[in-house]
Amino acid sequence: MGTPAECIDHSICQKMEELVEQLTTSGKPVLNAEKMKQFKNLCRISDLYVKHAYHQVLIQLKKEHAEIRLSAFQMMDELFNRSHQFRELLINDFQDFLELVVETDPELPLPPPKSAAKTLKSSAYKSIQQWYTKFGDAYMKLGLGYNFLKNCKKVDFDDIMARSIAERKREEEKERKRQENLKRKMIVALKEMDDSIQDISLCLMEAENCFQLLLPSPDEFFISNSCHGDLDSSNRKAQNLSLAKEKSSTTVDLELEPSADARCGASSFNVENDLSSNQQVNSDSSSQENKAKPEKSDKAVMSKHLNDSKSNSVHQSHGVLSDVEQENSLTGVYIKGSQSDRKEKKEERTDYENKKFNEMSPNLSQSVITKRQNSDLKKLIRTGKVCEVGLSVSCTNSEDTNKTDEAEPHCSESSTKEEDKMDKSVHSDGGDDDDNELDCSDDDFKYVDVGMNPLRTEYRERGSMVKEHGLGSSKYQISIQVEPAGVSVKKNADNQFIIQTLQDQYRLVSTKFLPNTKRWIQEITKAGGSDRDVKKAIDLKTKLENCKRKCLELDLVPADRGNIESSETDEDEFEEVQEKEGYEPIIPSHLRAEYGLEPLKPDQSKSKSKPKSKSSCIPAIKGKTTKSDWNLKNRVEEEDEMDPTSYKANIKKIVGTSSSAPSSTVTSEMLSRDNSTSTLGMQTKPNPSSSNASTTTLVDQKELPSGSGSENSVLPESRKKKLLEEAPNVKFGVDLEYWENPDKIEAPLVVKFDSLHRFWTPGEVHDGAVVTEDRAALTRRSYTYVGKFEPVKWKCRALLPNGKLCERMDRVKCPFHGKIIARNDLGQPCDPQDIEKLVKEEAAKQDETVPDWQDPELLADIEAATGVDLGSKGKGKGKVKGRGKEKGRGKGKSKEKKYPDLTDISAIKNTARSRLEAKVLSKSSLKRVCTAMDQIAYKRIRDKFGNQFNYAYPK
Amino acid sequence: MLKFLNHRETGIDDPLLLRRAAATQRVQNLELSRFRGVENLHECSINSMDLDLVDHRYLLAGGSRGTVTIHDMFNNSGDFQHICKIETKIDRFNEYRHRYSIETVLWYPVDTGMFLTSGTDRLVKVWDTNTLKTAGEYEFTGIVYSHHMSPVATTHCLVAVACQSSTIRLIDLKSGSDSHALQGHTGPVVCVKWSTQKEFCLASGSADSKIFFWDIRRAKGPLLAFDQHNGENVGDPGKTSHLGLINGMKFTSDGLHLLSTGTDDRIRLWNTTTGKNTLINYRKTKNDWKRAIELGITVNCSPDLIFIPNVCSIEVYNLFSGEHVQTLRGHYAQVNCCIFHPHYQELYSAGTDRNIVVWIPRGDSWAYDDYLKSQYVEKDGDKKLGYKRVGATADAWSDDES
Repeated sequence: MGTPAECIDHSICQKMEELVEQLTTSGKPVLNAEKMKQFKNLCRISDLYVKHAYHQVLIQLKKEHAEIRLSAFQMMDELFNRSHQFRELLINDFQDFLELVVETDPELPLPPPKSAAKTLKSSAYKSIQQWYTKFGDAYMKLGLGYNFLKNCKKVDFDDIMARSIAERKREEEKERKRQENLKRKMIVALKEMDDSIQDISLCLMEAENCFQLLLPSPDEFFISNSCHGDLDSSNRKAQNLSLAKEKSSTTVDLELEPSADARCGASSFNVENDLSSNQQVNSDSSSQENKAKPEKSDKAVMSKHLNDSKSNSVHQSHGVLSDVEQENSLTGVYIKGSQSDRKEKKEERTDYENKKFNEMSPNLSQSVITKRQNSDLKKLIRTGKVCEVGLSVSCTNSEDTNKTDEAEPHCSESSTKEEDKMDKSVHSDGGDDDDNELDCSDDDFKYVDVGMNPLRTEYRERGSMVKEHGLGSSKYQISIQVEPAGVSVKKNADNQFIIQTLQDQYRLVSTKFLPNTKRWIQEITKAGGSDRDVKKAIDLKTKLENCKRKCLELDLVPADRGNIESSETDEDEFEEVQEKEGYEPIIPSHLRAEYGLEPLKPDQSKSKSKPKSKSSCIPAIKGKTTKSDWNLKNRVEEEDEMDPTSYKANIKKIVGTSSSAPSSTVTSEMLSRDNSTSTLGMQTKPNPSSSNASTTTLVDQKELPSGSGSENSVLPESRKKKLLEEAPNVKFGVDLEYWENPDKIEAPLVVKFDSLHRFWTPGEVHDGAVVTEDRAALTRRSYTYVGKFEPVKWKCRALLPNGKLCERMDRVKCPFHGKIIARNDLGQPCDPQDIEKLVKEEAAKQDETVPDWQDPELLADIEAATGVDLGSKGKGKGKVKGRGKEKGRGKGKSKEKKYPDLTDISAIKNTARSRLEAKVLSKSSLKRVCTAMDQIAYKRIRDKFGNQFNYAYPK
Repeated sequence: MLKFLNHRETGIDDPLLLRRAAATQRVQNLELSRFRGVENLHECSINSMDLDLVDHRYLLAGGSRGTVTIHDMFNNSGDFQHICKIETKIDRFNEYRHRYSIETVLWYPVDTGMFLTSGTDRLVKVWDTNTLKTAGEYEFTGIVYSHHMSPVATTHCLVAVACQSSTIRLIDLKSGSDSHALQGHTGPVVCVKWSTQKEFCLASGSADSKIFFWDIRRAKGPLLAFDQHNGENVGDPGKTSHLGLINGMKFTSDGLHLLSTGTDDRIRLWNTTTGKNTLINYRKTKNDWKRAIELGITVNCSPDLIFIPNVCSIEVYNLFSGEHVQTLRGHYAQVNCCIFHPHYQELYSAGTDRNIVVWIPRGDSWAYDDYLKSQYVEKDGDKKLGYKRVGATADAWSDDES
């Protein structure tokens, strides 16, 4: 206890104050040990300092910031354990202390931030218990307080630890319940799945069958075709296929030379060309230049590309292949089509298929063929067999189409396995005139020739060809045009039921089964179901998706496809709105539609929409469809239409009943005008001076009738159209009436009041002059030239702090990054001039920041010395923040800066909600909305009751 | 003080003077006792306490759950440190207990063998202290806010009962019947007190802001109506005593004055013979309790002091000057009752924080300090340490901090 002789040292007190402030505003959950030690040392000097310290800390404890309070409390805790004096003081104010620290008074809750408040409370409870056990005997009031907390506030001191256990238990319980719930759901899902799996498989099977019917798969072609044993010219046909499968038939191949020989005629050229020229041929053919080349035309080899494509790779592959082929030919692994039954069949079936699908559509048949060929070719690839060199897909118009011949689908394939790129080469042989076979004339079948055969074979073949087929050349060629385009099935009487069924199945799959399956998968996986179940569900899903995809690919999707899809993509329809920096009180007229506002004024918008009313109208309407929902006026007007007593509804009714054209235009004009006019009477005479947005469109309709008068009705359609085409788009005016004879325009006569005086009369009015003036006024029109709105096509692309590029699309200048300049991908300016300029600006900015004499510290020193406010604080802070952001000079900001470590409480309050509230519920906006609504209500009442005298006069 | 002693020895002064002087001195500085406590059993707020008038030893306390405890306030342990033990109690398992909150407890003025309790269950119960059974029960139409027996009565044995109805009932314990009804109030009567001087007089304070002074021999109407404005016309026709509910009344020990508090946060002192407001200006004391509170008033001091609950602290005023003497802070919630012990000059207070707090004169604390010192020296054995605080009150600056 300080003796009276002891006096307090002011400097020490100041030091203590500083320390208290530093310690309490650190914002950290733990005190700075070093500083606290200093502080304790100071307190230790005498009880007077303890007292001083107590008051200082108490002041901090009363601050409305939980972090400050927490730190202050921790200081108190330290001192409480040390000093008796401090204990006395604190216990004397223990009620207040409890209120500040553990919110004993429910009306004085702990201040934000919450996390700090929570720690404060729990640590306070802990400390109070410690204090009680340590000092409870000596300080009765502490005991009383402790009892109070324990008994009245039901603080379970013994159980502060145990409470966490209880909490854990509770959480476990919760988790367990959640799991149970999930499991239950899973069981339900599994049951559901089991129940509906039959339906699904049924549906899938049905759909699959439909597919089969519509579009048989290649595998089945063979089977089905075998029974179509017609047209089997298999023996005669030589098909030169490099099929490994048919190695077995190699011997046969060699023996049955004729077909091979038959090729000789065709390949006479090939002989000359030799293997070395193969590449050349290929490249040419693949680049579709073969037509230009005489040699090829001689050969009548025309090539057709399935795809445009990488001829280079083709070349290379050919380069390799040529060798292979040579070997093949030497070893006689060449397989003749005549032996290869399969190939043959394929040919036939192609034909058959062709016929069949031609009924539906040529397109379809083609694509089907494409498919099949593709698959066949793929098979070839799979067999890993030799691929021929001569990859010239030729499209021929052979002179004699009737003389078709055995196709030798020398199906050469680039082993690059590019599925898209399939070149098919078919060697056409002379000889057989087989009309039944591939009929080149009627379809898109092209006979393709690959003239690449090993030398020996060709020699032999030539002879046999002549012998067998009587053909000396291979000029008859069929080229097959294979289009990669998607398959589509045309609906006709034959398949309409199939398609219908398929559509039903599709609907079922896409609306019911697929979503269900997805849900099941989700539920099963969430609950951690067994792999088997998950697999089952996923299999189901894949099947369903396959089915759905097939439907979509075949374009069989029913009409409601759009709806389904749109419902799926609904979310995407929300437009991304660029964030606005602030409220924009003035919206440029060209952006009004974008803001969902109505055009500013009819006069202005009209002149703009005038020149091309159609093109400009459509987007505007489009924009409105979404945004007009938000437009108060529109909504009210809609409501008006519903209300039978309203003016608008009546007008609508009249419009509906009246049949005559002029009246309808008039009324529709009235409709559009009803905002501005208060008259209820049915004026039938349009007022030319009233300029509304709709008048322009009205003019469009009216122009002709008014211009050509009664003849118009007699005019034939064509003339009308023609006239309409050349008719200028003119604003409504009197001169339209005299469009074809403009001389007859008469200005309205000015009716002079006749003087009622019996004797005295005014002088005669000179009519002529007036008439010309008036006429001029009637024929003249004024336009406001606004120009055409061109959307901005560039972005600012300045580098943002977050590493992205600025997305703002300003025409000339970005409000944040200045003038828009060319920038590279990293957001750096490209143009050296720009770079220079930027550097300069940067330098200028830095110069500007702090002149020497304005150094904030210096200023602060001077201020402290003289007591004159030089504004060092505001400026200093602003400048230090710097970098063009000098908004934050306000008092609040500098205050905030005072304790940078503390959590900003005010920021917590600054939520999106509060900001919105401030804007939406601000006085002015409320007022605005209220007036608008009042006006609307008033208008409605006026429309309804305007003809009743007691409503007629506004109050 | 020595002078007083001397005079008393020589017989110059009345012995009363010394006593009064000592008491006055002691009572000036009360503080929370560090060594006296009261065992607490109540798990609820304590609404009312009473010290017996026979030897001022037993403290009766009633809680809001119908529990009653009787503490022996006499320290016969021979040690300074003393927790006043509970002698007996009516706990929550007693079959006769009040079902709801007890509002008032009262010793039978003549004997500690009997006490009366009343509560919100509309009952006044008469208890036998030794058996803790009810000897009688009186039911009323409304909540019984307060009841009182005359401390000086010799010819009657009447209990005045203030209940929710505006009539004050008088029960005669001898006959066990309801003998009188005093009508005059227009609102519920919140508190009732017998005069400490005249055995037939009592005062009642009501929610209609009026305090009436009754003589039960004249049952027609109140004897006096205390008017806060002393008859001056200030536009108050009703002669109100406060501008709110009157929730506390206490006669001075000589019975000449009546102290009252109301929810208008005022304290008034009335002359009971003239019915005048003495117009002493006490400080505004926060008071928004809607039930009866018990005020403490010193006995045999000059000047006398009053103890007024002020939410969670107790304000001490000079009775006649209105001067604020001190504030006693020790409770953590509303204080409901203050009982002054006339012999020890101690104050017992209790409230909704469930604590019964003993306030003792500071001199006693010092004595305690001395005692601790001597204790320490004795225990320590060697004297070289001299003066030092002991135990928990010592400073504990750790050495590593220097």
